[in-house]
Amino acid sequence: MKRTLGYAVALLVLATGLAVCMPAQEASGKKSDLIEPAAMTALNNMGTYLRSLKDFQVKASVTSEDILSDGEKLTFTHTTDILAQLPNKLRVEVEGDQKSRLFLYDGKTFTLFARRAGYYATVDAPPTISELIGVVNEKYGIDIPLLDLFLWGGPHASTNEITEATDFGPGDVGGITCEHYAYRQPGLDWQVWIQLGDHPLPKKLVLTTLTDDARPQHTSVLTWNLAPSYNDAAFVFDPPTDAHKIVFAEENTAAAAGQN
Amino acid sequence: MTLYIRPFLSFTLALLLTASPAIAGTRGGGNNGSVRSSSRANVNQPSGAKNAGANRNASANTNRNNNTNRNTNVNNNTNVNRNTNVNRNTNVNVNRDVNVNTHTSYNSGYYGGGGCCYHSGVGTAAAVAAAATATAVVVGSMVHTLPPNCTTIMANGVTYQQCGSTYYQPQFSGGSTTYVVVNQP
Repeated sequence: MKRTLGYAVALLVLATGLAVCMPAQEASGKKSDLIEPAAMTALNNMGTYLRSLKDFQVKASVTSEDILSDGEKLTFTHTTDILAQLPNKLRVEVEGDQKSRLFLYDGKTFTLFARRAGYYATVDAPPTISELIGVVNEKYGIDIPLLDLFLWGGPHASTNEITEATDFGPGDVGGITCEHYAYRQPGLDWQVWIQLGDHPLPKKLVLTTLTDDARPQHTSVLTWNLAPSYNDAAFVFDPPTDAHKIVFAEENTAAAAGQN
Repeated sequence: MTLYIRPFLSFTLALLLTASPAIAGTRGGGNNGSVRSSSRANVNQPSGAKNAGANRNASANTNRNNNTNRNTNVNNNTNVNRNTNVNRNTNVNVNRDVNVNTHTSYNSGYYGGGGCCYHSGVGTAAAVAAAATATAVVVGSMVHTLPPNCTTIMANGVTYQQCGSTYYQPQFSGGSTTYVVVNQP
């Protein structure tokens, strides 16, 4: 009796053990099934197309979410207007609920102007927009708005982090038919609506942050102008008489000073 | 008669007391909590970026329905908005007030920052000011909002804010304006 019971328990433990192991094996076997080749091809085509543009203007209506320490979720909106001449001229204007910002880059210097506070700061800058994005992030903790538009299709795209990719069919964005794709990668689920036809541009982006249970989202609807008219003065900062020059805090000192 | 009046009076008094507004200058409630996280704004991270997706739990979902209703009729609309007239205003016209403290610096997160303090606005200024002057005497400490009654001064080409006897140096921290307490310049 005891022996049979012992065998039964042993069998049960073994079975449970196997059951626990199996899904992991199954997962690694099926992982490639979760990436639809068509979804990756579309993403790569979009990136290639973006990298082929010589200049463009894009306006984004953005809704973002913040989670307070007790879980309360707040929504804020802003518009971002970008004028870019590749590889080394950039003008970004951000107007939002709580701040107004102007980023200017002319291939030599980078300036950030906070309109409402009347402060601006200027530093020397590397020769290309993609290098600028890396430098201001590393040194000053600043993310150039919509920096994805400059990184997709290039060496710093995080495409290899994607663990799932799915084509969810047609989707309309502002009257333009797009194809709706969804991707998953560590800490982030995201979706893009890519315009169909000869101009595979991202028309809408939704990023869902997974590192907080409240899953805050960031949504951008993009309107493109592939034939902007402008002159070089658009990328040069002309400080208003009552603006004051300040400095950028360097990242390591900001962390030490206790960015909350 | 008196029996009826007394409870009525005390009831009214109680009502008045509870209905009276909170102390002028502070809000009678609300959430003054700090921001614990913000929605990520970028899929790709610049090289050397702080890893916002630090939770590397890449366990694949085994229950995954890949095929949803797939409409094979695709409207092939190749219209691209080709607006060739752009009003390009290259003059940076600024209409702004000089009183910095009414516009709270708020890191909305798309600068990759860790988020900070959420102040709802003018109503909390008094409460915040009290805290700021109490703790701000420590040189090197950083605040996101100035106390009231500051003036902008320039010393050796550097901008400072003088608030009473405390001096702050404004700076951009990850795209937000912050103020560091400094010695008198």
